Amino acid sequence: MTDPDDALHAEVVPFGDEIGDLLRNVFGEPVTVDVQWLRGRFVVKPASLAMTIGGEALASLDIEFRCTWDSAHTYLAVDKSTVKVGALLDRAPIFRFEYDREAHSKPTAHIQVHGHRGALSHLLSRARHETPHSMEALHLPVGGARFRPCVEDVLQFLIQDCGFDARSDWKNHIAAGRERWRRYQVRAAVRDAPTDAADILRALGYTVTEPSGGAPPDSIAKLQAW
Amino acid sequence: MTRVTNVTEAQLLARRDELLAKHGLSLDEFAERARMYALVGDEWADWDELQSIAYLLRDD
Repeated sequence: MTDPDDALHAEVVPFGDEIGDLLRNVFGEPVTVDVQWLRGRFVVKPASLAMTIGGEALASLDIEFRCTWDSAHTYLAVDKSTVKVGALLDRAPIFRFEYDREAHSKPTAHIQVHGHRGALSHLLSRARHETPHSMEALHLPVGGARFRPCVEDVLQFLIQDCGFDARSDWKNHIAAGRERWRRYQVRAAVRDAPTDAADILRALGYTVTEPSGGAPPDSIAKLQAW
Repeated sequence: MTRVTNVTEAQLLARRDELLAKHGLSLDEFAERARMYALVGDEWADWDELQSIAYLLRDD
């Protein structure tokens, strides 16, 4: 796919539409998704959503994907994603669910909780942590690139655990989106460990034949990534 | 609805300057405040936007 306009319309616009549709179907408000791009890099960002409880706006939901083309210049690859819930009261984040494909000093997929806990600060101080009073300095690992939570998981957490308002049929849209995501991630995980995938298929009764050139190697770096 | 904009480098640099001027900080000062988790209020959202700009400019 060499024509940038073709690529945009085949990949980026449907990706933006999918996110916008999910938010509209779950929360009931139309959401415009802005895509800014420059020289093969894209920032996909739905408009900030006011989250309500009992009809009162109390929090903001901000989602952003930073994407580029994969090595074949065919599919979008997510370099970084953020799902951030902030308090309208002080305009500061409460939770951040993040994925950073190139992360080195923190887990690739992680959650940051913006809060305070005296016992934790004490512990971090004793450990000579640089910012012991900032719980958000901790990056809680959540499964790496393949097994990280999807946007739908976060939305369900916000509705079911936190009590934010949603449409009555939100669960159907969340379930369908989560299934799409997990099927996509299963395919990616199979590419990381094809020998294991073949073994499981054989155990299920499939006949699986190795390629003539031998089994493709496992992606050890991806399997071992934090 | 998805709205696509092919931004220019000049537009991104102008927006970056606007955000920095709003807070009276240099990019390095802003980055240091973020690194130390010392941001408050709108600084959080504006820091996220500065990082998005850096990504598009390949300054990340």
